Amino acid sequence: MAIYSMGRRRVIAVLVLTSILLVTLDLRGSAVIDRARSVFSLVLEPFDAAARTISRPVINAWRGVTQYDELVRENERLQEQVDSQRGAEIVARAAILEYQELLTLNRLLGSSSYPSATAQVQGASPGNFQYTVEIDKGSVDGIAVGMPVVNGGGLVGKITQVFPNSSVVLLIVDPGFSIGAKVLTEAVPAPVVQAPTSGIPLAPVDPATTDPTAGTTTTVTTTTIAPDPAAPTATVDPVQGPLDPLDDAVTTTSTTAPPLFTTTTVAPVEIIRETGTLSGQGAGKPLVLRFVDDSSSQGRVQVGSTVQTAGGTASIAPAGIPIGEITAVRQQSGTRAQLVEVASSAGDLSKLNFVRVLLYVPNTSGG
Amino acid sequence: MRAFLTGPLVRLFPVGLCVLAMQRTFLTELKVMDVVLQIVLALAAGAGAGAGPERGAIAGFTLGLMYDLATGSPLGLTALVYALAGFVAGYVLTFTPTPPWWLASLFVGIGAAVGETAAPAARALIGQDGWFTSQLFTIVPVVTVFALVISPLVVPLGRWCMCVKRPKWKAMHE
Repeated sequence: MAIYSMGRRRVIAVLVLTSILLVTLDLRGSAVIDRARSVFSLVLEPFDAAARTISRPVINAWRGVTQYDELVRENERLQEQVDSQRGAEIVARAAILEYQELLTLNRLLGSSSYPSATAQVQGASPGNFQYTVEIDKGSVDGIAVGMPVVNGGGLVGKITQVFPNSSVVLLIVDPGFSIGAKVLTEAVPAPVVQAPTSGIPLAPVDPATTDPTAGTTTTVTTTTIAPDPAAPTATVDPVQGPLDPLDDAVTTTSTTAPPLFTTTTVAPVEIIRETGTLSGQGAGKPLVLRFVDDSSSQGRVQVGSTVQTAGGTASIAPAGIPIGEITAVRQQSGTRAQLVEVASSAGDLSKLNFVRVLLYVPNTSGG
Repeated sequence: MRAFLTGPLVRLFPVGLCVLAMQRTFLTELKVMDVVLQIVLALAAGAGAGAGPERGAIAGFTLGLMYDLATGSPLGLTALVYALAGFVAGYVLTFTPTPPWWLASLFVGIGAAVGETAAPAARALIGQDGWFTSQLFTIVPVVTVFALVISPLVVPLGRWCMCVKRPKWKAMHE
């Protein structure tokens, strides 16, 4: 049998040319192809539902066999985490309320100001070269291409395909994902301590307790009042909460200098905002942030700084959705540009169950 | 009309829907070494090993188109990759018209390996970079082994879908 017969060449040529034509049409955007996808999703829906129903017991049994120990360990770890975060949650909730109040007062829109639709993840990507999930809400529920998808931790991805009753979410870890992001870094000044009259040294105030969202200037005042040496010392702590790192310092101060009135003032705090483009690198790898102006970011972003969506007329998401935290800032050889790695705050994206689609349509007419 | 009803498309389409549904539900959950097993690719390669390079390429192209329509990947991209897988696997019939099961399985594995390797290459051609990573050294062997294992199922199924019967040899009377 000849390896390349005339008929074989013709088949290869026709298939290759058809593929190229279809890919070109699809990438340029074709209403016919979009319609074909919608129709095909409707045809495939009953098959999917049947396969899901049939395979559920098998999958559950498989998971029970292979993941039991891991689940037990994870459950214990999460329980510990919940216990340790319970106190911090109360503080955070109060801060969120204040933040909402400020937004309302200033007539600003926060990410929580937009309507949203909660959806359940139906399935992961069927391929190895695509990080997507399918959710059970579609165009019927008001979902449109480009809308941001979040979970409790932060940004999860964006909608790339919409069918009547389902949608495809491109996850933030996919190399094809990119979004405008901002880094908020606090330029930490040395604390200025007004020494008490007796000259007893005071512990410096932890600058992490200053509120980065409150503005560019923050003043923290610690007051210790104890007129009667016999009476217990009373401490006024501006930041309440069980995980407040300021607590220890205040306690030390009040016990060592009971009869004094001391004032600790933190010098103006500068909040540095750097804007760049964030993109994914695949599962198990950190996100990568590239700055718009590489020279300005030199030495100004720090490990631990928070990364949020930048917003703007061209962005797919409103400003202020948490994305993650900077885990590494590396200098690349041969270029001044820094490689900034970001750990996603949305958690393990392979275990998503419920997500929230922000019904946010960017206002591109503005610019 | 009769030719269409008895043609391969009528068989391949419903079989493809069932296999695609399995791919999208069952196999996305049962990952091996964090790799999604590819049954649609294995069927494309199986059709090639059972029915020859041209028919294998056509089966792979059709299954790939269905995959593209279902998953939202650029239409025609997976079709091209799966057509290549079917075509490569079909080369087994150039050696012998009735290959033994192990030779057919081997070519199903080769076809699947070629298809899975070609997928990131095809994506790179349309500007979707970032898929040529060390993870590829895990993905390709796992997908290949899976295709080898299920080849006794997908080769006859692919042959049936493409309306090809296994040749039977008869002794000629003198």
